[in-house]
Amino acid sequence: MGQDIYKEIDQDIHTDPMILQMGPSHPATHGTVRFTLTLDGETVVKCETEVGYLHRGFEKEAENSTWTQVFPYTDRLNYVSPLLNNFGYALAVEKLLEIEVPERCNYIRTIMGEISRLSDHLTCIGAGALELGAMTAFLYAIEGRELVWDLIEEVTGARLTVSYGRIGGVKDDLTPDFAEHWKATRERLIEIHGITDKLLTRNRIFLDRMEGTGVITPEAAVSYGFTGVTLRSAGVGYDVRKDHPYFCYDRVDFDVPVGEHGDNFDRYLVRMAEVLQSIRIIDQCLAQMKPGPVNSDDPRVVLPEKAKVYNTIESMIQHFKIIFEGVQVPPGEVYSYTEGGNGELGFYIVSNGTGKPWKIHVRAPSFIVMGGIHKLFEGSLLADIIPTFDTVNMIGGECDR
Amino acid sequence: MPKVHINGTEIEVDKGTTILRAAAEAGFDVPHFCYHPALSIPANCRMCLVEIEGQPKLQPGCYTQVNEGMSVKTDSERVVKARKAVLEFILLNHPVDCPICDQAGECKLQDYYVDYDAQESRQRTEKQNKIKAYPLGPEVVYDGERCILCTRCIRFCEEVTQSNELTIVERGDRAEIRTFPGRELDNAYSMCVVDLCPVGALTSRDFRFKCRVWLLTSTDSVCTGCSTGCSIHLDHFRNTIQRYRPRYNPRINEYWMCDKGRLSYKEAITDRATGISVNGAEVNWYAATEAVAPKLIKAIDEHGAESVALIITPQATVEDLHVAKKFATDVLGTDQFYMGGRAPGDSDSFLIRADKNPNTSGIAHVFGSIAALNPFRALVEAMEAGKVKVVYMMGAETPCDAEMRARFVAALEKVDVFVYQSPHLGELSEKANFVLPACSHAEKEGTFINFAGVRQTIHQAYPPHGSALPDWQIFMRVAKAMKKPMSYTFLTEIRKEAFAPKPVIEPAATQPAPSAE
Repeated sequence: MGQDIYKEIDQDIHTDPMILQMGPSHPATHGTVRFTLTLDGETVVKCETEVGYLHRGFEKEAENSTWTQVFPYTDRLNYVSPLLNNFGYALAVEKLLEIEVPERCNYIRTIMGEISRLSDHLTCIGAGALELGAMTAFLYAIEGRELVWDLIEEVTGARLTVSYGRIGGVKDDLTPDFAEHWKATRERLIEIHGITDKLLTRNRIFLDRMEGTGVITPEAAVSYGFTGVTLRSAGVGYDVRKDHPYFCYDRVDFDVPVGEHGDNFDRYLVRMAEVLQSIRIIDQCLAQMKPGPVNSDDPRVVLPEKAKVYNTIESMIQHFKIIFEGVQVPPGEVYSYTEGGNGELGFYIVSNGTGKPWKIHVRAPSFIVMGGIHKLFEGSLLADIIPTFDTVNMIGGECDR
Repeated sequence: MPKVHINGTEIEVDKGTTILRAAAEAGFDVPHFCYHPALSIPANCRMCLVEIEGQPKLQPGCYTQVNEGMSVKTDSERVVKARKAVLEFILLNHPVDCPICDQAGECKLQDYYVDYDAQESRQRTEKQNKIKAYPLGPEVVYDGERCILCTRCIRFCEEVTQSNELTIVERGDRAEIRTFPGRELDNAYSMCVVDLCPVGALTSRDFRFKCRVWLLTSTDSVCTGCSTGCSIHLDHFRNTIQRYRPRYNPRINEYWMCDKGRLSYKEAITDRATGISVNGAEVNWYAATEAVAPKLIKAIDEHGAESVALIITPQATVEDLHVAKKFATDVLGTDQFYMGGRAPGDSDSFLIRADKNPNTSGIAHVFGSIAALNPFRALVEAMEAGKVKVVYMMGAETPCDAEMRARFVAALEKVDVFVYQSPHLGELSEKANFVLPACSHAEKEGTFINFAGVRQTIHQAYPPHGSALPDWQIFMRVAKAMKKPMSYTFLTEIRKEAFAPKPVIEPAATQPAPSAE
């Protein structure tokens, strides 16, 4: 009997779809993006995504800067893992210049890149938990990030806007006691990983919110061009580091964790697993690397030492030309891609043979994901947008450029 | 016509062509310091050494002439090695001056070091010290340490100005450029040695420490100093001219220009008129033209069109003059044109001409002949006689001596309305009822015709200062306020009209033309 009563009531309820604007400054749309949602009750019927609220004109700015001056701008792409952007850009320009960087530089780039990835993943896991109400997990993850940033600060001099990459090398060598500090940080990171795992992975509330929400099929993920964790969670094991190795990734042993269901929980699990893999990579690199130069020896690209600049005219001229006219990159175009924090970070660069880039295009992984995010939202509940949007880890600086 | 192979490229060149020129024609740059196309060839810098097949020693490319079947390599291993050695020698005693050197950024030494040397210093001894900041003359400062002794400056003074001021004193690593005892580098073209100097040894006292060269933007323009109209690079930064440099033009000035012309940019940027004023009150263009129009109409109605005198300046472009003429004939209905512009000055047999206005030939082009304009003296006399009620003046200059100018200024008291349309303020702006700010030549597009009839285009370097407008636009605004609008939108329309082929008119019976002042 009761069933029938409810049926009548349900039929009487007027259920026209409702349009709801979510964002651009909703607390959960961190990175300022706007979703125009069409709701049927609490179910998302349709989602129209609008990006561009954090547009800085990176690509245009780069055209008016010398090749080296672009580095600070790349810091602000995915600002949680600026080192990965630095190195990705440097690699692209080096491909155009056809120069090789020394062995040690490749190791440093691998190590610092993975450290940056740790910071990216820890932030994503912590902030995701926080948005679902798990403040404790957030604090542990952010503690881990702070430790990682301490290391970054030690090496680069800055915590967030590092500008550590250089064409033909890096700004400076690792500090002498970096390995020692890493050892201490590493222990605590593994502890934090364990604590976070205990707090979240079998947490009933967390599971209810994460499992089976924000699902993407492997076919859809591939056809939308998703990369990174979002793709791997769907079971497609594509990782630029493994499939197209660069730096020292072909010399270290690591696994590419993949998910099964393509849901939020799998993305969380993949990130948790990648944290351990990153630690593994750094350990191996530190064991393998040998002392040596960190910058290429090409005088047309790399700045001479300060002592020489101040005391010899030859180095002074070299310094002067590189600073004021920029590194002279031969005409040509290149697409160079690396594994960024959220997936394939590509730089498509056209040079007209001057000291400034003619055109730079960034294939930002977040931007590509935003192109297909409605697939993850549609059909699920409004509340599921919160964990889904977090686990794809859209970063406005990178997406909107 | 000998055929030569340069780096494998076969090219046919005139007999007597040097390897350096033949290589340039074939598309290969041969670096050089001492060679300059307009000067004699001493082959002393040894930077242009090239390898000629069958000859045991490397030969200077700037001096060696091509022979039939000659095979030259400009970038073989030996040549590269020789260049590196030459640059190492030149840089041996070169001071670490780039941060304080005006040449930095346009320095051949910097360019060639990066392109051809790029190796670290091997010097283990002290650098030789020489004289710094030594004034060679009123406009040029010499730095002995930076000098690479290419002797371009010496050859310029010997061959171009033929004034022979400079020489090398001492020898070996103590050698320096100096003037002969009792002489100064004070010829009228002395600053050309600053352009010639491939390094920062000779710097302009005017431009010294004023602006770093990589901040400058260069616009092609024309010097307004005299009727030669030398082609120039107008280098500007932050909306003001920083310097002029001669621009190669084989029909006019080749590589050179005179010091006076080079420094004439100061006139163009000082005392600029930027605000529109009516009897001292600052107004906008609409208010000003609406106030001018009734005054002009009233004078024409009451005293006839002859009472309005228009002073035409040969400082204006052909386009401006064309609109000025149209304004006078169609809008004012007067043919009372008077000659304005600068008074004549000194001249020489090279580039400097007595007529100090860049576009006197432009007036002849627009008005038929210079004689179509009444002399300035006639205007002053008419003003003194009270026949002129309105003076509409283009430009700030008067083509007369101080006495006549004083008469002109005094006579301005007698006219009812004085409209002053000029890029500069000056004393006349105080007398003016209406000050209409016009663009300087750096702020507008236009055409100048030099004394020999060579037509040159000037380009806008930066936007006009303040409210200034090009002369033609001011005339159009005034014409519109007088309800007789002209219909130009773009400068190109005026240019097309001004340079349209003229209908052939049978020469009138010989009448003595009024002599131009």
